[in-house]
Amino acid sequence: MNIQSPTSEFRHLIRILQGGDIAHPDCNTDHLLQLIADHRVIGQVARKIQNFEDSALRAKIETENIANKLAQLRLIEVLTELKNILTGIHFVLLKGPGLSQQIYNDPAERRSRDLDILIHPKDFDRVMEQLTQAGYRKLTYYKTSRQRASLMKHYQNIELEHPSGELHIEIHWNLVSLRSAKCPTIEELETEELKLGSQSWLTPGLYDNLCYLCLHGTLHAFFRLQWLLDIRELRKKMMDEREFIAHLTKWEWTIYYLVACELLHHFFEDELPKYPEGISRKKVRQISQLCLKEIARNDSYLHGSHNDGGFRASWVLHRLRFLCGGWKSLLNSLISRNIRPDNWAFFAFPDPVFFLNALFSRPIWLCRKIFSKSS
Amino acid sequence: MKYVRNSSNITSKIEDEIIMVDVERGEYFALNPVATRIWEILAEPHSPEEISSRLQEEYEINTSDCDQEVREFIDHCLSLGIVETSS
Repeated sequence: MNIQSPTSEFRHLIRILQGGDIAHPDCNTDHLLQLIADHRVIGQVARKIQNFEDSALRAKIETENIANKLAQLRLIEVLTELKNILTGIHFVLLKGPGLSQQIYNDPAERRSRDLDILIHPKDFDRVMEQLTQAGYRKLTYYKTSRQRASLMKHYQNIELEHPSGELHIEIHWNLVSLRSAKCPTIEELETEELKLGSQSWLTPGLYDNLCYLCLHGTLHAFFRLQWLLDIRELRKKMMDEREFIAHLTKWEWTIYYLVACELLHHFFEDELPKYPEGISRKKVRQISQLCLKEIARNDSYLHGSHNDGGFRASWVLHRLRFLCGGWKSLLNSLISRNIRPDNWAFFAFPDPVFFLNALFSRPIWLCRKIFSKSS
Repeated sequence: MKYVRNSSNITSKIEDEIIMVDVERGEYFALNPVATRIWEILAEPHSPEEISSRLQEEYEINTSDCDQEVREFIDHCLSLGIVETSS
């Protein structure tokens, strides 16, 4: 497998994460720092700081690391507020400080920009009511009951803005959208309790978290190295890989784990698990190649050599979903990408705002694309 | 009297220093390496004398200076609410 034309800064970043020396004359420090920020690996890079020969770069990374830790501690403060707002509602922390504590025994080590919590779908209206009363602002717009039903069916989370405007929270009612892959409900999820300060929180257990990270990462083509590093650390904590593969089989998630392992093997030469019968390595490698393509696109986009900033909307992602979950998954990928208010799927809904948006936004977007290509 | 750290604070380590947040009051603190070491010792209840003798084993430091600075540090932490007396 080959990542297509990675920049020397990307190769440096991988070498840093492997624990190697980073001195290199061609390295553009700004690009490297941008890559570290974009892949959200500042904590992991800062831990390798003793290998750095460039003192200016070391100082910048130290500063970034402190800023990150303070931002993460602020997230935990907001999380505590959230717990007080959502009194009586059962919820589980996804990713964020909970995962950071689980992996690194430090809630502020891992970089997160927002908070994700999983609730039961039946609590959705109550949660929205309590949060909006507390001053949170909905960023995913829905108005009519038909729009709400469509959102619940095709999507898995809604985004809200904290009253201060400084951060977002995502309320999930499913781990991923239901048609993308089979997934457990909040009740079926195996959880574990962890303590942040004096308060207790629920987070998915080790196996379920590892499963979720593999699924989430693959469906996003692992465009952030952070997800791979999380999986790498959780894999180290795993007691019995065969037991874990049996756990994956329950949710038909084996392929996602194998994709993550292939990528870890590619970047860090980590050991590959024994492939279970019935799973073709050729197909897994095909999916991993698509992920590498997305990572390369991300790298070249940051480097300014790629014009398409909306890499996440790429057809690579649709192909990837088709390979992982077949037609059903592809269809959902197309629908959920267009369920946001400014997209054409809302053409079907009897709301004038959506109608006008749908009528004008897509053709304008399309004209702009065609025009920029031809010029 | 023995003292112990207040477990309601959330901490994060940066190399050999600690930053912490008191989520109830929304206050942030940063501890230097020696203060961080005292904080680590205070995971279990300890008296200022015990802390001072541990520090003297680990650092080259004068006994009377160390005793006094440990006491001052603990008093300061008590006033900030990040350390409490052990029951």
